[in-house]
Amino acid sequence: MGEAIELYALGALGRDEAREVEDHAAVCADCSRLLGEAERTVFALDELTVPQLEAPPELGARIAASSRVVVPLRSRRPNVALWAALAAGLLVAGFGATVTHEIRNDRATIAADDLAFSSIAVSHFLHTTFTKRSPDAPTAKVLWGKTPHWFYVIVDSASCDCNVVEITSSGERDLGPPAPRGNTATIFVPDAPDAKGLELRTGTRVLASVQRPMSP
Amino acid sequence: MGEMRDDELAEDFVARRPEALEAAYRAYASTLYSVARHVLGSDSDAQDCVHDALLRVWGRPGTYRPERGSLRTFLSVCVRNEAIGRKREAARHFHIEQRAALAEPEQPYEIEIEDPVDRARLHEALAKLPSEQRQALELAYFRYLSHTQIAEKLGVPLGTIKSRLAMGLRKLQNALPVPSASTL
Repeated sequence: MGEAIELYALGALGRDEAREVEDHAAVCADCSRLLGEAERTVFALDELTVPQLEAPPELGARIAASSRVVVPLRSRRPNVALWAALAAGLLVAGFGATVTHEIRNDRATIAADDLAFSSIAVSHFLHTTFTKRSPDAPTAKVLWGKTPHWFYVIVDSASCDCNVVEITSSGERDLGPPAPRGNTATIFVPDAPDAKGLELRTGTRVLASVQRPMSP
Repeated sequence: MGEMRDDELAEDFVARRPEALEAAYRAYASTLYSVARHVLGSDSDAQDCVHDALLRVWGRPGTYRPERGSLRTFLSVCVRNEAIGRKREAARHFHIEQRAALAEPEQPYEIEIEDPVDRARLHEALAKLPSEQRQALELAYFRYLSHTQIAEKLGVPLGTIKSRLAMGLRKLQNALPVPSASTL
């Protein structure tokens, strides 16, 4: 990666360039080590220049709750109860999902929904519908966030026996089955800048597919 | 949950144990919040930044690996980069401010460090660098400019700026005091 290592550590790269460095470091031990050395230098600068402050306690509660929602992509079936609340939020917003709204008053739950709600509430996003490739394909739609590049898949069937597969220019990634939410099944991916499209599959059979829309 | 050692936190983070992100945040909260607050200058922006940066890392398995070094350093740089990205995006929304920033006359950056010992250490380390490397580093580190913005501001080819930044930071590795063990 050459000079990109130091530029990344300094924060001198643009977002796309920085993401390339991160992706490479994730699979290259040597570059990861070099990156760590550069980051240590920036951290040493921070130690000299950044006044230490106490973090607000509410931030810890927010992160704790959100960390239970945003599971790694390889994990399957996130917490159903928490996502029911999100699906209800979408219903209120007019997206047509018929779900049960579980009102839970504890602060942790409210904070847990924060990331997904805020992604939908504060970002620009586009809405597309899956094209059916098979007679037994369920009706499904996707919300595509622009910044950051999240997406949210809503399948109009809670019992869909299918996986969501993300298609990228370098291959594909099986995200697992969407999780049931009332009469729908959903899956939220918070960070997917490389997604070119999605497919619903049963085994290797493609039930439906959709392309990521071009930004207006 | 009791206090965990840094290596235990890192191990749990790599293994993606369910409580690892929360535990890492609790251990490094002050460091992470302080960095974001320093770059963004706002409490609410800093909170959003730390939250989103950590969740972004957590949502992308493999981003942190042990070869990279300490988890604290890794997360701190992630938060700092996120904060800088947000600062630049905010600047893009205020074109006038951005143009004004780029049009500022070149002058030495006033480094505000309260601790005289730390200030002296930093000045001593930076003074060891060739002036063109020091200038590029100061614009990147203290003013959060990207390499393209620095090249534009200084009227120097992009490749030259990349080299100056990379060489400058490598030289600083030896010139700066090693971070204390308690913070690594």
